[in-house]
Order: sequence, then structure tokens, then C-alpha cells
Amino acid sequence: MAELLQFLTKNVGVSNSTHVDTYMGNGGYEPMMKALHKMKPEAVLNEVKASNLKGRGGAGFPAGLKWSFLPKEKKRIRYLVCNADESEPGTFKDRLLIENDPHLVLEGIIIAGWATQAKGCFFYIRGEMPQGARIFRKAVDQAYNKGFLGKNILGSGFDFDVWVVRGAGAYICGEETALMNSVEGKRGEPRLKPPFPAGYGVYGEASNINNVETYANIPYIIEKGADWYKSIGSAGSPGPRLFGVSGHVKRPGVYELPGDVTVREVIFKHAGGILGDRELKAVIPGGSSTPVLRSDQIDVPMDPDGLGSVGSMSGSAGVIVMNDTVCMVKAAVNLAHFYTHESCGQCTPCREGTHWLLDLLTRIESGEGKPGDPDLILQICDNIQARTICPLGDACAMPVRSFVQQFREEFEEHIRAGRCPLHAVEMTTVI
Amino acid sequence: MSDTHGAAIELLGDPGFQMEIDELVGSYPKKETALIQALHLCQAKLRHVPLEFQAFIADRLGMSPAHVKGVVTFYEMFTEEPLGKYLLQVCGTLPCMLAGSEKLLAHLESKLGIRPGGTTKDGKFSLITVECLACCDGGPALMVNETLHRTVSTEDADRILSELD
Repeated sequence: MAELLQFLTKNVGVSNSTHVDTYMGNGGYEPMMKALHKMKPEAVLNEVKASNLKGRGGAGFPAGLKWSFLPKEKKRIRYLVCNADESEPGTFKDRLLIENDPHLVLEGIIIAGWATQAKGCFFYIRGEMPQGARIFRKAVDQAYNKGFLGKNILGSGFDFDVWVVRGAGAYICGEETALMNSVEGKRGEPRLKPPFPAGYGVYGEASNINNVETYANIPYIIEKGADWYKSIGSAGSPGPRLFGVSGHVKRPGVYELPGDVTVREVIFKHAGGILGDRELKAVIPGGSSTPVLRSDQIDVPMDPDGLGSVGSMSGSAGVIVMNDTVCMVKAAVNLAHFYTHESCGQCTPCREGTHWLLDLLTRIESGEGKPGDPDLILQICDNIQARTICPLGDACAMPVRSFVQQFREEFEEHIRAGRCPLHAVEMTTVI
Repeated sequence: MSDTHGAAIELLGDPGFQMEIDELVGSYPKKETALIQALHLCQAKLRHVPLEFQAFIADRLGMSPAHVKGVVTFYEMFTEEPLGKYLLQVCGTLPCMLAGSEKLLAHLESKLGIRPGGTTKDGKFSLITVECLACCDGGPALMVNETLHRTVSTEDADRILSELD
């Protein structure tokens, strides 16, 4: 049974945890000093590569490998970006880190800056997190005062800055190139790739972007080494990972666990089991864009192999739990509404397709569905997926497709009876 | 209308505000990054981003007013019409829905007599639904201007609103 870990969450709950002195009193910034004083940039990069740290924003791309794509020529400007635009429904782990342990994230950013010899980092935080932006700005100021940022950091000859940039309410800006456009004061519309950010990113300079939690892992990899890191979790999902559990559980919250913990353990051991002592009906394992699981599919590890074996993925590790009072069509309508609203409108399959999915799902939910509707939904999903500039279209089509496939009978029943089979059941809520 | 126009002119004539903008522009490696940050300043002070400010900031940053308008209208947090003194943002996304956000929203609608997108006649409250606030373990979530409230029951909402002047 996987027990709770305390690395990424070590300082959560510690009094005055956001202050640099508290952080340093608990061993903070020692890994950064080790990197700057005792390791060449290439050695840091190789250690992170060897750890096989997977990106925690959702795509799971190996972070060290991504860093190695940056051009190495001295004369090139290299920028880092920290993606703190956390807005995937069900995902709230980065907020925990930003608001409780900003220096852990910042230390990871500085070490990454050293490894990639970057000029600085744009910390792009959601507009709806003003408190987090204030906390992080304060942490940045404290780091400048300590000489951990700015010119000639701790006598190493390395110059590095961090700029805090607020978003303004657009889920699409979590997509890396949309985020970069937003940093440049533009509409958050994703760019066609190639060119990739490593060669042409923010302001046309070589850029590397990682998620908040990804950066938070770096100090531990430098402190304890890649072998220690890989001893936690599985080969496909090494290291400690933050799982955010929401919905119908007794103890919703963020749990730090090995990357190969099973879905069942997350829900029943750590999050306290199902709210209202009802039956589990469905789980979205990795944020709203990952395919939904039925209750008989939860005895798998939350790593790529485990969730892959039941047709899903760990995404951003946002686990959304639904008990048997939830109508699956209604849940699908809610998700489709989100993606319809957040589509930037550049690509026709996404802009039009998300609307069509929402219309069809709404008509089924309201009892006006037609017999061919489930198949029509699947066909629209086919016409969205892999036909757009960015993955937002896929992020809508994947969960919607999975709801229809996993709970087809419930969709058919709505259409047959002309109403929701759960119409007499009151959905469990916490208020 | 004349009031909002007057407020915009007054703000743009305020040397303190001009300094804030200059400081913002100087704090980034390239000035364009300051655009969205400056729009936030304006939205917070005037409760909207009027055309006067759009023209001003476009000129200050060397952009076309059309570009600035494109940005203002792209991002949810900027509005071209004034919002109420308090913006009530109810998260309606799946985890909050599972926690009871529909009840919370219905309660606020009937209490204030407005629908999402509306503003009370006295200009005190605007009500909107928002997408995921990354507070999924504290649903239903309600954000009032910059303050996030977690696990908000209808009674909590009544108390929160009664404490706003």
C-alpha cells in the first residue's frame, strides 16, 4: 500500500512557509548552491535527464530531454517559462505549491536556469490566482535580496531573472505556445508547430516551458540524485507526485504519493472513500480531458502503463470521483460546456465541433435525443481529434467519447425513455 | 456613460497611475509583456477597460488600438462595460458541480434578482459563472473580486454578501 510522501509537500502547513528564511531553515536553497558551486550546467542537465522526471502539466514529456532540445550556442538568448496557468478542471495541485511553498518552485526554476544557461524565466500565473501571484512576487523579491536572483548569483558569474506575468482568464493559455503569445501581449491563440518553442519561443527566442510541479521536483533530484528519484514510483512514472482528488470523496485534497499508486488506493485509502457512503460510479483519473473509468477499472496504477491498460492516462493527476447519484450525460454536458467555452476559435473542427457535441449532449440530457445521437457524437469526435493546431479539441473529444463508450446504456436509456433514468435521485453534494 | 468616460479621463490624468504604468513597462525584458498587466490595473480601478484606456496603452506600448481591443475581448477577465463593485464568480465546472454549485448559483440568482452576466441596479453586485478556479477540493467555490471562498453553502453566501458594504 502506498503511503503518503513528504517531499513536494514538506513545507505545506509549516508556519510562515512562504518566507525565504523558513524555507532555508528547512534545507531550502542548498540544492541550488550545490548546483551552482559544484556542478557544471551539463552535469545538472544529465542528472535531471537520468531521473526521467516526467512533465506534470499533463503531457508527461521527460523534462531533461526537453531541456536538451534548447540550442547550446553561447550567443543565443534562452528563456525559461513556468506554466502556472493551472486551469484543467479537477487540477489544483500547483495552487498548493505556489501558495504554500513558492521557494521550492523558484529554486527549481533557478537550477533549471543554470542547467540551460537561460537569461531568465517568465512565471505565467493564472489571472484568477491574484493571491498566488502576490505570494510568488514576494518570494521572487526575497530571492533577489538574498542574491539568489539577479547578476552574478552567489559569485557564480551566472545572471538570471524571474518575471511574474499574470494571465487573464483563458484555459487555452495553458497550451505552451498560446501562453507564449500571451506573454508577448497577444491573444492567447496557439501557434502552428513547427517551429517548436526550443528554437522559436517567447519573443522568437529559444524557450523551454515546464509546469510548476515539474520545477518543484528539481531541487530533490539535485539533492538526492537520479537513482534515489527513480526508486520512488515506477519506470513510467518515477518520483513523488501530487494527486488532487475532488468530487464525491470524504476527504478531497492534494495527496503526495508515488506515481504508481493505484486509483483505488487514492480514492479509498487516502481520500476517505465515497461521499454519502454510496457506490462509486465513475472516475476521471487525470484532469477533465482524460477518458473516464468505470468503477470496475480502478485496480490499476496511475502510471502510463496502468491507466493505458484501461484506455486512459494520468494527465495532470486530477482525480474527479463520481458516485451513483451522478448522471453521466449531465457530467458530459458539463465538460463539453467547458471546452466549448474555452475553444479559442482558430480551428474549425474545434470551434464548431465542441458546439455540436454540447448541443447533442444537451438534447439527450433534456430527453429530446434521437436514436442515432450516440453514434453521431462519436463521429464528431473522430472529426475533431488530431485535426487541430493544439490539443484542446482532443481534450474535449477524448472524455466525451469515453463517456459515450463507457456508459452507452445510460445514454440510450435517456433517448428511449425521453428523460434521465436518475430523475428521481438527488445528486450528492457537500452543501 | 458620461460617468465612466469621466473616470477614465481622470485616471489617465493621474500622475500616480502613469508612474504605475511606467514601472510595469520597465519591469519586463520587453514592453509588450506589460499590456495584459496594465489592462488588469485598469480593470481593477475602473471595473472595465474603456476605449480611452485602450487607446492610451496602445500608444504607450507602440501597438495599434485594434490589437489592444483584440486582446481585451479575448480574455474573460477584461470587460468593456463596467462591472459592479463586487464581482461574484461562481465556479460551475464538474468538481464544483458535484459539490453543489448549481444550488449556490440558483440561490445567488434569486437573492440578487439577476442572472449570470447581470449587474444589480445599484451597481453593487455582478454575477457570473466561471470555469474551473483550481479550487476543486473546496467546491462549491465562490470568488468575490480577488478573494476566494471555499465550500460555500447558501448560508455562507448570505454571510459573505452581508459583510460587503
